[in-house]
Amino acid sequence: MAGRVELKGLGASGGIAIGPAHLFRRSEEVVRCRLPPESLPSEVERLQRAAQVARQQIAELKEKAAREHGAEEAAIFEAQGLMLQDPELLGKAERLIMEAKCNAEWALQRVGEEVASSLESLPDEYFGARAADVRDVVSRVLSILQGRSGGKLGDLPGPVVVVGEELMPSDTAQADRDKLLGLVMETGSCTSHAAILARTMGIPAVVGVKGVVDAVSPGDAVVVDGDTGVVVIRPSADELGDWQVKKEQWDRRREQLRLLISAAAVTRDGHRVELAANIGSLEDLSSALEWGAEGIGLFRTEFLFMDREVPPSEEEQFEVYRRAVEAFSGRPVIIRTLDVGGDKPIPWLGQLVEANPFLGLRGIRLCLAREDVFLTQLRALLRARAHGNLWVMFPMVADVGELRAAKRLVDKAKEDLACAGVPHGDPPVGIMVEIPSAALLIDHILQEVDFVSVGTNDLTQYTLAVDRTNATVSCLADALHPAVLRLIAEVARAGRRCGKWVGICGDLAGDALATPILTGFGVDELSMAPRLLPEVKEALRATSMREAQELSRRALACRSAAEVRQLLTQNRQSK
Amino acid sequence: MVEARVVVRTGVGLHARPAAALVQEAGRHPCRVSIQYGGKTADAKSVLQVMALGVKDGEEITIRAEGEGESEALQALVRLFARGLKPS
Repeated sequence: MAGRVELKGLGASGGIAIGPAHLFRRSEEVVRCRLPPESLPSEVERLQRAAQVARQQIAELKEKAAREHGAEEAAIFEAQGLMLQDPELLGKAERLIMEAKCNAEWALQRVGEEVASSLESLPDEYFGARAADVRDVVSRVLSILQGRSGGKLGDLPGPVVVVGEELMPSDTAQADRDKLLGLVMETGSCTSHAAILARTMGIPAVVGVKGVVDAVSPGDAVVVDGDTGVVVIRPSADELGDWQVKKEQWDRRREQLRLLISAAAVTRDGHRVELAANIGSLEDLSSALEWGAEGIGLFRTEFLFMDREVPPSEEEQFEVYRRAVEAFSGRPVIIRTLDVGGDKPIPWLGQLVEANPFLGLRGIRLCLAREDVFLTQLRALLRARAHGNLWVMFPMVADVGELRAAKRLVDKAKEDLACAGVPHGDPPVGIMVEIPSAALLIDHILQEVDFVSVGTNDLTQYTLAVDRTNATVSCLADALHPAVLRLIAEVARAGRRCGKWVGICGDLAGDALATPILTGFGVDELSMAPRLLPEVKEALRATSMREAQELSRRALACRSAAEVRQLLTQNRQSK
Repeated sequence: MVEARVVVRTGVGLHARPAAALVQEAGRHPCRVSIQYGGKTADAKSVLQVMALGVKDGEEITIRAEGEGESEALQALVRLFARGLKPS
């Protein structure tokens, strides 16, 4: 038996798997047979019949995928179905049967391989992944022609690490979670089917591991580290022990984070901070609930307005907002009004081309310039308030002037609805603090709003004069910069002084490193991408309010972002 | 023959799902429909030919329709591209 081999690929799904290798092979030898001319028409028919059966199977897989994995996965089979109707594949294979006087298997495989390699030669990795779809379709038809059922992931011999060239969507659709410990693929990228499947199922996976299929024999012990991309074949007994310990640590960590989902968001000494989720569509609602969000701290509404020729109607918007507040039954759902600018042009808005869109007509400025669009959104929001705990938040407000103009339009929308006798509510109204002027004038602003939420990404970019979309300087856009922290601290202090609610909804809120200082500033809420919630909750539960306040004082006294980062890293290591 | 230039905005270019949407719409019309990109031409009714063009997001392509119902076909396709190749 050969010795230890270590290979490196791309970590496609985190975690460590240890188990016996199961070689997943699909390529069956296809031989070329010469056929007499009189049997060629029936050979073409045989191919067409097999394609028909394959289309039926794919339609069934599409249904199953739509039920179990969602529209994205189902779309793959949709495209595969179209490939089977494509003259480029079957038509060419049929012609090849007639011209080369050969069997259907050989003709189809040859044409399929040509098409797949031409897709693979495209520079974009996404098209490379589509070559796998072509091979999947071809292999399905070949199986039918040869009368064998494919070796699918549905009938694995026992708990195994599956090692193979590449997985096809039809293999993964039937994967058996209990028997699949990990995946190692010779080819593929982080967007390949194997990678997507592994992440969905939460099993470790490494893809793009050149030479793995030749290096491994069935039953060999294999270690898969889905974080680093390391694959170890036939490790020594000692090494296996070390991996076992690592695996247990990782699994414990995942379990810890999972348990935190239902834990209370409080400091050691019982100080509460609401932990909410940022979402950008209705589909995100389920992951917000799944990760234990106590509310929605930022619902971006841009998705409703983009990729269309006409603005969304009041009715369409109302339905979306209503569904969001109903999903969070009583807990706050903060909906941000349309926040776009010249960097994300919307054709029907007819925006002008701007030299510097981040300093241009965006956020509330654009909404005030387009009252028609804004009023429609406000009416929909006010109506949805009658169905749940909806709050309205304006983006990019610089001072009370814009705030008052926006609030006047809220009043107008209310009047319109009242006149028309349409049921509506009276939501709390607030702003996003993301322009330094709003942070500096926060005392004035707080007198005229019910709440504020700090958008740390834009606040950082405007405070530090760094375009965060410009790769050459974006590394300077560090929200831990003491200049940004001082603005946040000032907003939080002013909020406490006048008893107004202060949240944070930028990326900084989801950075567990920053949780103690933001808590120390005394904010009421942190809102972040749903999957970050457990880690931030863990950081919150590990600190006391006194420690947090002390740490935030020290952070505010730092000279640079690097100093703050060092301070916070030391603090975390001392835990 | 009628033609129009459109920019592909799907977030991911003209790959599986958007390509499928294009092919399905093209298939509803009796005329010949092709798309031109980077000096290459693809039959818009063949998902494999369309994908083989390798059109990336933000790139411009030409849609050409020829034959019965060509202007309806072109209009429908331009609308589809304006929606980011999402079904209506």
